[in-house]
Amino acid sequence: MSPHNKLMPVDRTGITTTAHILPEFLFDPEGYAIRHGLPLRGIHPLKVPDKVFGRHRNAFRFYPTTFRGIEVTVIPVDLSTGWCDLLIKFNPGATLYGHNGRVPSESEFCDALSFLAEAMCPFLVDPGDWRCIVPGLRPDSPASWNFIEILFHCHDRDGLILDHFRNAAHPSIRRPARHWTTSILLPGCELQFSIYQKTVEMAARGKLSKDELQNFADILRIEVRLKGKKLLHYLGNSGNTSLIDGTERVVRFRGPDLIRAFRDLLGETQGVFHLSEANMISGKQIASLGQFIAKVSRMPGVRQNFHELLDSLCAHFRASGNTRRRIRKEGLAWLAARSFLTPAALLSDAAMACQPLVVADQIESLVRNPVPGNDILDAVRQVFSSPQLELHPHVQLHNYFRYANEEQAPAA
Amino acid sequence: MQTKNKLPQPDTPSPSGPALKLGILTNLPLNPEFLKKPVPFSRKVGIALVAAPARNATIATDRETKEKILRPKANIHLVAFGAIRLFARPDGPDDRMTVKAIDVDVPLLLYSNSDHPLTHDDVARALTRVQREVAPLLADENDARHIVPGLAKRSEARASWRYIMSTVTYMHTPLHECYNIAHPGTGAAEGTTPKRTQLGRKGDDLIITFESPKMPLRDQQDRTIENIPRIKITVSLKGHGMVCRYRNSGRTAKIGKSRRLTRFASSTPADVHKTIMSELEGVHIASAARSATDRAITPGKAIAFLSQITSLSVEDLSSTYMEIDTTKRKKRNRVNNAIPNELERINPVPLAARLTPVSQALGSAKQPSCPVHDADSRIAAIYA
Repeated sequence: MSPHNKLMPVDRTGITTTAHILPEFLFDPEGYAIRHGLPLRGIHPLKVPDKVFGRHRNAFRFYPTTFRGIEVTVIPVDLSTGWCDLLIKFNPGATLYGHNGRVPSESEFCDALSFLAEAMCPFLVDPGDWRCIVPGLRPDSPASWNFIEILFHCHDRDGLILDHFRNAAHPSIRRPARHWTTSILLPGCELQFSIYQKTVEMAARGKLSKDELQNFADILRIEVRLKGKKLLHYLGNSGNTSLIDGTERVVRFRGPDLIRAFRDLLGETQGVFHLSEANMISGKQIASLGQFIAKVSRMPGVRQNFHELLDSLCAHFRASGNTRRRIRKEGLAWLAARSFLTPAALLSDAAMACQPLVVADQIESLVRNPVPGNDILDAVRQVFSSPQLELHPHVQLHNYFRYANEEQAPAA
Repeated sequence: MQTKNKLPQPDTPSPSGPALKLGILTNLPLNPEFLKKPVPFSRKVGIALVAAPARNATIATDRETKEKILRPKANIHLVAFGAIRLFARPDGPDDRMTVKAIDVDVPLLLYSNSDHPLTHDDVARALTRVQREVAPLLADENDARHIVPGLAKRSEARASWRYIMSTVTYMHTPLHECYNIAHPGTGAAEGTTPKRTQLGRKGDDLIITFESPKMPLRDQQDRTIENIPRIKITVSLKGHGMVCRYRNSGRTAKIGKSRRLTRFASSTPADVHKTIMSELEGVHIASAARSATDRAITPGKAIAFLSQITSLSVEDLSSTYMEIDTTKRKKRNRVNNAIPNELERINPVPLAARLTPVSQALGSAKQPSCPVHDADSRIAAIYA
């Protein structure tokens, strides 16, 4: 089985659920936290829109841990019983290490999820309701994954991979891409791509010092954010979903599911990966125009990418949507024919398994999380860990008998 | 209801100044009675508190005693949400709740419209209103001179200007017709969207924002006027960049370790805005109305247009196209002949020349929505 099975390449996630929160905490969150010595970092009141009644509801947001990684928005439904809607933003990397520069393994992800459940226990009417906080732990649980960000790290020493993504497009994203010097965003509602130099981003947020920046200078991060129907489409299957309030929702996933979804999504992008020239037409003026604009976008000194040049041309001459689509198709085909990137090379098993990490010693040395209880950890691992490797007798039996005779456990 | 009335096109510069948002840095302990019962206290002293301040708190651990400390902070809105905003947090040896910053949206405060252009004495009137609303909330009435920068003596100054944002709407210049927008102080634009372009990053001393306004223009009777393309440009200055631009017509003082702006003339924001517009790089190319056949994008037209919005010459672009479309000589000649005609038609105008005071929007000349106070004489002496 591939070694990348052991990775859980997930960044930020969102969980929606409902739970009974202690009324004492709802009425006086600050006082409750101080009286019980809870490691809260902050409490902020806010209003959230009520889609049913068309007005705003009072809510508040709190951070239940000393270190970053968990943000809980509480929307009270019934103050007397403490029944609340919860929106939890959970970042396993930030929970464990104080930053999200690492790619979590399955066991690390399970530890972080267990820690989330543990951290919420003091606020629940019944501490045993932690099974309602983490999705997938109980058949009738109200918890589900609201959004998931899948991440991938690669080396990009000359900036060529980032450069190739400058002309990226995806059929499900209609909005134009946004470009910064070291990052690209393909913005969408339920599907969004972010490609950026990770260390530059961490340094800008104060997570890396200048010395540490140089150690990891060429790490490029590709993130895909899935939400709503797209989350269900790419990660949902009979084993991963549950019917909650009449709607199919994703409640569990494993590392291989994320990697497969990520490869599917990247494979659908246009203008990035190599395709043969067989798709290009020749002899037509509109085809030549598309290829011409694509070639201009790759010329030295031209700041605009292919889409920006095309949009400017079409807006100036008020071209029809049909004309724009035809020129765009030819231009993207020309770019793909000249790309050196292939999904097989960029997203190979080896590349997935050996993703470079950003290590921030200064922050990581400060993070101290209590060890979660065994029952929580076991329940989480049962759902989110890949199954044990199968025994292959023709290569492993010999070792099994050897170790059994020496009273040692056989290696899987 | 839509009318066909068009806004007048003035031949002379408009007297209206830019819409202003102002930020004040100060240090003003609040009255504990206000903090205990904000709404009754506000009614008693006659100030227009919008709502009881929301309880916002950070909880930290004291490094020495290891006990949990609650650090509350509050945003207090006066007159209208966003019109006058006070940011308060604990400060000083006894951790009293202290106003550290005041944000004033001048047109929102005076005209209930954030984009309304201002007259020359509107700044003084708005600051007078700020003074009158905030003074009763303070623990010490002598601190009232530290609400508006410039009122206290230079040696005792506590208040200074944190930022000045000026917004002007320019007519007949939509954002999608502006290309290669840049400024020497910020560099080229990044992260643009079809409706918004920004020069400078968060935290920079100078940030220039270009936006396509969402709301249509309205006349004095609040009716929608036919949709005239326009662009809203906001110049945001803070820190050292602001001090440099405003120094000549204002006054600075050393507060703490830095030199800060404490006064400026009311005409200065408009002048600074105009100066920064004149420094802009980029071009405006109007997408003129064409017939259906004339709208077709031919290679010659594409080459002519791209030569204006990229750094490439017509010759480079032409030879690039010929490498792709290796057709007959007759067609090549047709392509090359079309280029000069299109270049004549395109007529790019430097953005700095396009964005002049003449092209500003007048907006509807509404009466102030709040009670008109004459400006305080001391404030008027400084800011009118």
